[in-house]
Amino acid sequence: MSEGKRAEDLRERESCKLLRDEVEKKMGKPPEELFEEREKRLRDAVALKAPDRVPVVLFNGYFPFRYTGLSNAASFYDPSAYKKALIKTLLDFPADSFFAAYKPNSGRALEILGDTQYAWAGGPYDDDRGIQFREREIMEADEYDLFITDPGDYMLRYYLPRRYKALAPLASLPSPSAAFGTAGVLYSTLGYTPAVIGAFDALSKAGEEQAKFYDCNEEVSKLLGMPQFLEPGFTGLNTPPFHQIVDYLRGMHGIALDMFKRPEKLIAAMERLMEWSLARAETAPPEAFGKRRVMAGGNHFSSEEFISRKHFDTFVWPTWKRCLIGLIDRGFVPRWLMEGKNDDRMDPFLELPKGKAIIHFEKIDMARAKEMLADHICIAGNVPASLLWGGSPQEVEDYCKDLIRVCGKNGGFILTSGGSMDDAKPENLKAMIDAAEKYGRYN
Amino acid sequence: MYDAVTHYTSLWMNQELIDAIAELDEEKALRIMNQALAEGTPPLEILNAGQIAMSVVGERFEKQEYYLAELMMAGELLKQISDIIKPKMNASEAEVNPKGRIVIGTVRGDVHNIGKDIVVFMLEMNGYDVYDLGVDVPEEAFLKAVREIDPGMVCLSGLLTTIFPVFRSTIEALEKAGLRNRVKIAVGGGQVDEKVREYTGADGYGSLAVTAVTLANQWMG
Repeated sequence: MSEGKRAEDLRERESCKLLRDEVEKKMGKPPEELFEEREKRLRDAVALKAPDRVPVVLFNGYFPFRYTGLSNAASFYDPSAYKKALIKTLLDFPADSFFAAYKPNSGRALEILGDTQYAWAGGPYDDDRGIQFREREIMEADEYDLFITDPGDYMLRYYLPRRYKALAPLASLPSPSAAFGTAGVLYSTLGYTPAVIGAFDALSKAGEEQAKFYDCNEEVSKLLGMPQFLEPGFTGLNTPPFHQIVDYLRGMHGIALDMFKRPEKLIAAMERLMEWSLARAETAPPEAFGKRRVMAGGNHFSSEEFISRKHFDTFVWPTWKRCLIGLIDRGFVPRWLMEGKNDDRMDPFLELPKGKAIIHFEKIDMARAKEMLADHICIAGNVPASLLWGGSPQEVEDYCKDLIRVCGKNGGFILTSGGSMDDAKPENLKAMIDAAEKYGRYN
Repeated sequence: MYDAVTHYTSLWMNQELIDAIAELDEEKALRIMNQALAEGTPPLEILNAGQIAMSVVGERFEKQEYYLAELMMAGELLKQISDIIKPKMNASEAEVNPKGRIVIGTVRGDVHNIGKDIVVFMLEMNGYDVYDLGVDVPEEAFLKAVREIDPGMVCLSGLLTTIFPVFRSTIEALEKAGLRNRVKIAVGGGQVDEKVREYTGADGYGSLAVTAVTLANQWMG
């Protein structure tokens, strides 16, 4: 170990110790104990039991950067600033759990790849904007058969080159199945031109950059004793096939027309994606069984604003249900965000096993949601982002009080905002956290 | 000379065409349209049938029998039909008398288009002439559009809470340029409520597409 690295290590250890002391002083407990206590609170709520009190979760968004006076761009370009902002925020707002809705993305990695779908602060956007996903039709309507025959090949030679400018040369590769089985496969038949080599180079450099951000949330969570509401999930089953096709392949307009013009193809592609996802699905580590909360899609193009219940039943639910059950069977706790209006499509969730999942609502009649789901699935929500932004602390407190009274009954409820709290007033956030303590005690 | 058989055949065919489009039956709609053209039905009549069908689609959307997916499919069908019909029409036939001009756009900092697109669809179906500036539209572009188009109403759209200040700065920019009193302004989006309207200084707000039509009818109808 070099002298410089040793000194850096020492400083790091010293600052961790200081932080630990600060947490203990403020919360009266060491981080490990706090972590267990908070984790149990969340787990009890998921299992539909009443914890000691209603757990409260921060849906971070860009709030930590605004709060600490950093530009949003720092969250994409400076992993150390990212961590500092997160630490300061979570120290000042000691909720039970936090959710970094935008998992750290390296702006450098996105630049190296030339991503055409994300636009982010400090990259295509100026420093104070966020990240947005620009959906487009990457897969054309007449390419379903290509995709269904071999999704892996489609990814490599069609999807990646179209989405990432730096990976465009991959389009010139021959199909892997055509190249396999001949002698000297690596050197001759795969078509390693300088352009293709450049593309793989870009991929590896982007990977290095992204790795710098990879563990940020996990480290902060451990240091402060605050569990993440959701852990990054690479289980293969996180995004239901319908949403994968909307987001990454066909876009909303494309899939809307496909439901009318080529329903069999759409269903066949979703079935294929399902097999593909199941084949690479992981199992939660035994010690985390039933605790590891992962994102499991959302209802962003399958809510009442967008499609009918009939279309939901035909195209969305069959494979979504298999994903959710697949996650539960593998020891994960799936959580999904119901964006928009969903009143007429709640009953399918009663087909899932009891006490194994979390539904996070953006907006819905929460009393009705509680009534329908109380004995079945933990519900989370839904202090409006607009109230956290424009309301007064008293209004936030009143809202939370009411929410806890209605939804908190007998447990199975997690208090959080309906959307990410990017622009919340700090005093309103405090009011939300305090409300959990003031009105959310059981017994 | 009045020919009852032709007249009623054409009415019947139009009704069938209207139904096929409103039911989003692409194959049937195109077949009837081609048959009607081959039998000499005036192109304008076919296009009218298309527009009547669209208003049926719009009504079904308001009654929540149809959803955005159905609107998109209906739009696609109408586009296919107009692409075939419009070249067959002369200029005077193609003219329409709109109820009023409306400028709309998703404001700077936001690229969400779906909500805005539904509003555009609904306003057009209700006879307004809509100028869609697209997404991520800067203040200056709204100023320019108001000067050039002289609309009765401006709709600012946005889904993100981060863009509420941009609603406000866009309205302020119109005010500074002396254009504010010439137009009615509505802000709209999933997160928009009365509090947001008040903060931005808009005249009205909506979180549902159909509200834009209600406001337009109130202000310009």
